[in-house]
Amino acid sequence: MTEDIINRAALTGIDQTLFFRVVESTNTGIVITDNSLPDNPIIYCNPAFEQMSGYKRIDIIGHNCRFLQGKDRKQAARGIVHEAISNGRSCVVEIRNYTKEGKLFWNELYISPVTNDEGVVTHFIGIQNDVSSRKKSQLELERVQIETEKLVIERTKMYQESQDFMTSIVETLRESLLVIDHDFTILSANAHFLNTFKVSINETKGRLLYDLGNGQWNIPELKRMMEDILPTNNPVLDYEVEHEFPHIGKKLMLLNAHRVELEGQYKNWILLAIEDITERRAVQQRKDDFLSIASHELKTPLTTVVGYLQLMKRLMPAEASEKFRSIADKTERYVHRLNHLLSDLLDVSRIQTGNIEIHKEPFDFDKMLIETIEGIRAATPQREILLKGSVECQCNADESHIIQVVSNLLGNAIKYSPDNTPVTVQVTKISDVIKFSVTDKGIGITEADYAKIFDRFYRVAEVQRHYSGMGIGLYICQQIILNHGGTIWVESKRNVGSTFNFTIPIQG
Amino acid sequence: MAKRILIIEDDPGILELLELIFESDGYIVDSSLTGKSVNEIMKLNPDLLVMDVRIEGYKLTGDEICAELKAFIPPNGIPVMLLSAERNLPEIALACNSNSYMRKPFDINDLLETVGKFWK
Repeated sequence: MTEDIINRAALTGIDQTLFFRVVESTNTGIVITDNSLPDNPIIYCNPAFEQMSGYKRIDIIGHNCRFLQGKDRKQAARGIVHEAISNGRSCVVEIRNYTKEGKLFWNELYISPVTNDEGVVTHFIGIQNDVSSRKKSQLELERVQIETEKLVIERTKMYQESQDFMTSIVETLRESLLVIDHDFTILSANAHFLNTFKVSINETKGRLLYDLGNGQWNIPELKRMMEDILPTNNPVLDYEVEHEFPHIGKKLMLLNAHRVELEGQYKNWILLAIEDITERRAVQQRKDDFLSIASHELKTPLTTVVGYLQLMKRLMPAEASEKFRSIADKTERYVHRLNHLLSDLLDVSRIQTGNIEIHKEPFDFDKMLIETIEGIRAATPQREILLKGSVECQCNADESHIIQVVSNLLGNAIKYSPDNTPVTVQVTKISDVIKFSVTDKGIGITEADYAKIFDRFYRVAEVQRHYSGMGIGLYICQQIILNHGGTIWVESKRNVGSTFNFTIPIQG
Repeated sequence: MAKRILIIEDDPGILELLELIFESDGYIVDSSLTGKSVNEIMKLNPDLLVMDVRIEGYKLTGDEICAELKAFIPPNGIPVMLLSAERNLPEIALACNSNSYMRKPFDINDLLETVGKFWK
């Protein structure tokens, strides 16, 4: 064997020194260990290896190669290396090694046994390449792959969860929901729909909306609106339907339908929400009835009280004390207030039941205004009420209702502003409408309250603290003006004052 | 000669109050807690009939009695004043040809003034 090698070497005509120079010059790390010595120590390393590992030759000669793994002992590659060396075989591994400074580098290690003439493994040669950058990209790729897989799993789970979430919302809603295809077949119906209309999913899914049940949804007006949704994207909003159902009786329903939009994309589906408002409407009706009966019943004893009080004053003996007279006056004032509150309640209950009756007849607006203001002046002689402008025309409206509005607005202006400030009434004829405005120098109203003050039973918190009342006067005014086809609004500045305005058409 | 007023009013409290008001102003008062037929009214022949619109437990309403009374031939000339809390009292009064009306709750001075106009 040795001879063979020498012969081969001789054949090449290259001397051994050149071989040594080659090993020393290559930029691949080379380590030779002596397998015949205990623990297979390093006997040689070339400069490329010194460069790669940061160790000097002198540092490592005599050491087993394992120090290169530092404390990173649990590497599968180590097992492979160990097995190859034990069995005198070659192997290729990628192993994590550490430089003298402790910096990790990935070492692509080729280990080959070197045998003597008897075939005994005397040495091992380790060819080493730093593949850290390649390994890094490879690891990065693997990491990305794992991450991507994780993400896909997560997304799928999230999608499943959001799907479950949506389904549970849809199923929990106390509102009936139908998803309808572009040709008006039912794609799905939630539990509330099935329960409310006492139908099974088989009787619903896949059927035409207009064929459901006994054709109860086949309402021409609804059909027209539904058919308009997809071409125009116009929703159906709060459309009331009353229908007699065979198993569940008469139902009043509020329908809302929208084109389904998913992630910003319009689908050719319609979501139809059906709200059963039968009970709510009935409660409203009962409340209105109660309000109406209660106020009417209260009026009768009140009439008696007012009458007896007045009679008492008429029959009061001349010698009655001042104190007694004052008590009688006060009682009368409070009874009058009670009467006004009751009238307001009656008005509200009438408005609620749609019974506000407007009887339009031409009247002299200026004359009505002057008389109404006179009446208020008589009641509050200390207050200055200025009247500006005139309309000089007959107005076709319900005079008693307009008087009610004027008195209410003027009354508020006086009530909610300091006693020493004037209240100004301005009337103007603009085109074919009359505009009425009353301005006070009171505390004013914040913009947030502009619309709310016309709500039923709404009272501005600050006002509530200082003045009694139920907050229905402005609501009644608004209803009266709206019923006349007019508008009512407020303009105000905090601590400067408020102007309440209304317009009504002259011709009615 | 004192004028005679017939009051038809189903609420005892208001009826008694009306009696007191009119008597204190020197009228002679006949009163009834229930409705009366046209014949009964004509038999009493008051100078003025003051009447509620809703009369509990009677077959006719005040305005119906009034309409019958006004449609009677030969004319009896008994003036009628409706006294009620109905919001659309003006229309009711107009429809049944009543001579006057007054809304409840009423002001005594207004009531006596309106009644006084019948014989001025």
